[in-house]
Amino acid sequence: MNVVDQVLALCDVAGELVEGTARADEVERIRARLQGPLRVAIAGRVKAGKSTLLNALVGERIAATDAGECTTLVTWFQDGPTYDVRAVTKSGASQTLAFRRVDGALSIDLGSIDPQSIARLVVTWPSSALRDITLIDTPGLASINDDNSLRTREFLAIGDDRPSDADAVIYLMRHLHRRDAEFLGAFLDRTVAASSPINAVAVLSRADEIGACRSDAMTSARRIADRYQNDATVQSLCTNVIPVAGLVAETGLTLREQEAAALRLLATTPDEVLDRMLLSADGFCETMSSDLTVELRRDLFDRLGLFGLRLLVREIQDGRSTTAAEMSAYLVAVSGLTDIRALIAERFLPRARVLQSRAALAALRGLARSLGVEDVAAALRLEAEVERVESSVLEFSQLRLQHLVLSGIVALSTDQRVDVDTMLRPGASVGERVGLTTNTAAASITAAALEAIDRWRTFAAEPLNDSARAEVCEVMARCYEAVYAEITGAQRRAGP
Amino acid sequence: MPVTNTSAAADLARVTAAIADAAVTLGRSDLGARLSAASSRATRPATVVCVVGEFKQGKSSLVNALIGDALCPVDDDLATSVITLVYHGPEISAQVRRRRAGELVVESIDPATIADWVTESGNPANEKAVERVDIATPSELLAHGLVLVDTPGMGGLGAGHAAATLAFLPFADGLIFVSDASSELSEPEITFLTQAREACPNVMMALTRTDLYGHWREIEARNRRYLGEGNGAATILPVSSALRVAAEQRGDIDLDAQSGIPELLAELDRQIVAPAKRIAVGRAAIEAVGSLDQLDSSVAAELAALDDPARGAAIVAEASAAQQRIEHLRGPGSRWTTVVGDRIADLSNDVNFQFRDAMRHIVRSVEEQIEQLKTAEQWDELGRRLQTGVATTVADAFTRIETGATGIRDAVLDLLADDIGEIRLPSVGSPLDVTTLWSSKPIEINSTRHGKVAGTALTGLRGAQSGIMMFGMMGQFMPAGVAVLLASNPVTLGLGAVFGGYQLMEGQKRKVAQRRQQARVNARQFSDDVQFEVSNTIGELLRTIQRAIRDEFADRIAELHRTCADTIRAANEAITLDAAGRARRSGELQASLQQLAQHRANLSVAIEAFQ
Repeated sequence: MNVVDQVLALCDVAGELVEGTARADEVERIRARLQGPLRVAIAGRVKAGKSTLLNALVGERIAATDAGECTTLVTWFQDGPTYDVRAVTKSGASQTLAFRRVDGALSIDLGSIDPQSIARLVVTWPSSALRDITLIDTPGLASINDDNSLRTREFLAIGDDRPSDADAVIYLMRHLHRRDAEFLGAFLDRTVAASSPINAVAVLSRADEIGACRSDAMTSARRIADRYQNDATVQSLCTNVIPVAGLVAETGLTLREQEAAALRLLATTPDEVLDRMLLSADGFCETMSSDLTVELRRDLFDRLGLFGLRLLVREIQDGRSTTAAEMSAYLVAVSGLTDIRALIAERFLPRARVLQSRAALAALRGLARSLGVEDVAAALRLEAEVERVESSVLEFSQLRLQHLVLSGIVALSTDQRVDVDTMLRPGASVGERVGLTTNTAAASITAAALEAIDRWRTFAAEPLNDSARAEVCEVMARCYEAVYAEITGAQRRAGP
Repeated sequence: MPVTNTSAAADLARVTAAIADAAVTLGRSDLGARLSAASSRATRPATVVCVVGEFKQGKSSLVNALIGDALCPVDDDLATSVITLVYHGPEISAQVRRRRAGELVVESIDPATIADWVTESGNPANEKAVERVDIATPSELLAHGLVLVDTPGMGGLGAGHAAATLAFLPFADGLIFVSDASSELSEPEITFLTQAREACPNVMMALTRTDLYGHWREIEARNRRYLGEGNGAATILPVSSALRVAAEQRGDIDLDAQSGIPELLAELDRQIVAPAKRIAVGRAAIEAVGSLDQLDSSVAAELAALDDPARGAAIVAEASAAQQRIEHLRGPGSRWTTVVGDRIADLSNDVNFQFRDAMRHIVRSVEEQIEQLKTAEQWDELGRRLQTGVATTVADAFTRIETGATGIRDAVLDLLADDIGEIRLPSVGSPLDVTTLWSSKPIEINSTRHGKVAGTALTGLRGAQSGIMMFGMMGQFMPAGVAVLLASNPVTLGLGAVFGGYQLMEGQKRKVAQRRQQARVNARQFSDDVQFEVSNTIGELLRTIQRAIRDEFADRIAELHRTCADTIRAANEAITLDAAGRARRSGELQASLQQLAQHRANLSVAIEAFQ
């Protein structure tokens, strides 16, 4: 029985225990969440480019972006059969809202609802990009507008004794500010995935601007991201740091034919004029000697920024891109969007089920605790069941193992670290997990697994181990046992 | 604030310099030296302007754009981690002040290697124990005495702590707060700005990188709204360092205007440099008047003796009497030196007591709060509060010392006024105005530009010769230990994050208790370390101040003594001259006297115009 099934079975137990009470809905919610898509929150300081990245990930300009702080409510973007926007109030009531699209971006009319009473907006949007994950846009942290900051904190449940609504977080930052580290730390502390960096990824957003929009800005940003990734503090907060030029990505995915035409025209501007234009925002938008109208240039600047403009003009002049499609592909390639998409597909999604199961377990544990006030026997029973499932599922142990190692709580030798990384690499086959190839003969794999079990049991038995290190070694041994069991089980099933 | 009449100030400085020359010609090189120093201070008063803000907002780029040379290291990634002073010098040179084995050493370094000392990568966690890096450069801008201070940005993981910067601010004449145009001011920025304004109310904000962000006008408007609220609006100046550099490369005036840097420079002059100049010039005027009296004295005495030998003898007698009284003031046993010693001891007790008391309160309050802590954020926040509180206390202690030192000088002045008040310099006629000898206060005491601290000694300190000196003193006396302690980021009270979790089991509760205990120990340790360093420093600083006060008054007394001696000598010589010699000498002296009278007239005109 896999993790999800075990937890679903637990939901059945809980359902029976609370049947007929007000808590029955709660169990249903937990079950629905376990079966639904992964919830990924996009968080960060004010103007970190959260909505822009969200648009880039969806491939459409749906979230509004502006010079000022513009996301003021927690907004969920989920897949669905029809377009629909609704507000969920703090009391749990849900109400459909009117909306229209301005330049693609959603403009939502809150009507007579008091924004203070809204817990979240839920946007249902038919999109293949949202099939496996629900993206959650959050107001900026460290905003002067305390209300907005507070909403994000409330949503991510920081400073509140309940698990977070998000399964994973993409954290955007321009440079790693101390507040960012604090926030990530607090988030990890609060989420159900065992206070672990494994469900967080940091994005160096607006990466083009970090390098002052020079043509090598992305290279520079990548170098910075690498440095952060090797920093012990950062490692304890998230698994990866990747640079993304959100605006370039967003525009790359939504570039219109007429914009491409304007860009081609721009590229024919005489060099000395063009040079002045590409020096600054004002220079670009305000110069008199351009064939493009001021409005058109303002739009282009808003869509591409100085970095996008500089790169595209050179690209067009060198004859490498001429059509809108070519420009789009070029922009997306430059932006670093591919990396973050790959990361979601390779890291978040494979772990999604485990993370969600864990979230469900924590929620059930919470339920048991609140149940304790009314029905002690039922509460104890549920608590015991949760405990049983939690300790018996190897995936949870692996999550904890990853957490202990990644966060630096347990420092391993280089050889040991190689073992751990190999074992836990997402999508690895049985053979690959023990450091061999997929096609290795079963006998060699079992031999390698047995040898590794011995090795890790020995590590685990070292008298100087603290409890965390002992746990890591024990779990590693169990992982190899699982490999052994899988191979021998397969052999038995195949029969003599 | 009145706009300084620049030409009147320049006139005053020039007249003072001319009087200095006259003093040298009349054989009074001691007075000459003092006056030329005052005159050059008046032309280029050292004015310290700190460039502050969060990390990676373009502070170093702005400093480079202002001085027109890429001297401060700028990098996409690495942030400035050490306070860097940039001032005028005949050629580019750089010095590092750092501690080696507890001793302060000053080393010259190759300006090309500055990055190895001031950036996070070249000098991780300040392992080289650098207190400060000084860069001298022949920049036009700095030629008028402006000193720019590039500070480590706040907020970065490795960057210096806001507290370290805040502790220096009471000694700055002005602040340029830097925030880039990518987004409006954030809450931590506003918090810092509010604190910084209390320490140094003269604040300008530079909105940087306007070249990259098309929406900078909107951001500017938003920031203006935030800054307009609360305690008075600050000037916001949109600038682009990159455009300034491009403009200089191309020699393009339009582009230069677009960069906003010329406007920032004009504002800098108007808000910070000009007022400082005004005060320095005022002080120069006072010194010039006092010196003229002394110069007049011997010339007039000699002339009088030439005209009438009997009068000459009277002058000799009068001057000898004065000389004897002054003689009493010299030497270690004199009343005023005792007063200096006593008052310094009192000040030392007072400062130490206040400092220890404030530290005790901080630690006690932190200990109380440790019991209430829950989330990781609260832990870090408390660590930061401890640090900021300690930094403020340290800064307070130093401010108290400065205020006290000024009080001591005033007391000595009163005492000397009693002792030598009725001394009449021969032939000048009027009693000696002692206050012209010691210019402890600027000409205008009612200058309120420093807001909260106006009226305290800091006003005078900042405006006079003191800017750079005080800053240097802070650098020198803010012990490396304290600077490093305050810059460490933040004070580690212990691992708070671990028990911010939503589940708190029994075992964890015990752990929490242990951690709290550890946190209390850490807070105490931090406070002990700071107290040890700061107490030593207070002692050292007070001894230095005592020496400085003694030396200064002794010098002035020596000047007076010499004036009397000169007068006696001149009168005696005059008596012994023959008729022809008398006529010649009389002509010379008449000319000198006329010259001095001319200077006095010029000075009056200049002071009149200046005021």
